[in-house]
Amino acid sequence: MSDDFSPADALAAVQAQRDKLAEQAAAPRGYHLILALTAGVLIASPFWNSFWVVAVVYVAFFLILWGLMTWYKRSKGMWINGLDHRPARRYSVTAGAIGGGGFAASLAAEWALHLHGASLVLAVIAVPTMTWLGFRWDAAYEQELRESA
Amino acid sequence: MTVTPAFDPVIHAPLRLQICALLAPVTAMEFATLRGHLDVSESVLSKHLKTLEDAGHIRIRKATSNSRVRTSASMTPEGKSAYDAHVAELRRIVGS
Repeated sequence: MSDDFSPADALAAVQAQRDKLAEQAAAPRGYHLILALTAGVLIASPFWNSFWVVAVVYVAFFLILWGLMTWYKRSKGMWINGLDHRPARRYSVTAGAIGGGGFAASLAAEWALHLHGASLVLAVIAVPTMTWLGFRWDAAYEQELRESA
Repeated sequence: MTVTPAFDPVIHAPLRLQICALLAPVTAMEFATLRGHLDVSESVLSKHLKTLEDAGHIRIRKATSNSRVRTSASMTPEGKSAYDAHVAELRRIVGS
């Protein structure tokens, strides 16, 4: 590689690397669905009206999150924090709010308001919404990389 | 956020600029992945990573997993700022 690197060549080289990254950054197949299903199970867990069921699912949720993170790192050889400040962040923050808010709402609905079955309804809404947000995140990140350095 | 254009001679070297271009949009990238993208030898990549690390632009971490050492690199906040400023300077020069 030449040391004589004009600014135009330099910008072209930067964009070429960003384009290559854009081709590879999307989550592995099934990643978003597994993440959303895991959150869905957590949101649905108060349905069984048992502290221990919720506690076990809660711990399992974080173990599966760790597993998903490891899967992404191993398959892609990199990690991208979805919450880093960038345009795609709005999708990850919304997904996080749906997961966390859904779980809190489910606990309140089942255990405080005694609306039996509300947690299942919340989970059924959360899973496809979170899956869709995951794909939107991938698309927004790819667009960000391709737009300009 | 406004970036003040500033030329960085450490970043401007062709391979180092491309390393920064790959590291800036990610949290961390493994050595092997970087090497795959850049198509250079281990020794060449190591040398340039060390230069960037010495300048405080990147951080290199080694983690052992299944008795394998995995080396990864990430940009420091200062390195990210310097890279953004350098790219802004290139664009200013080119006039885009």
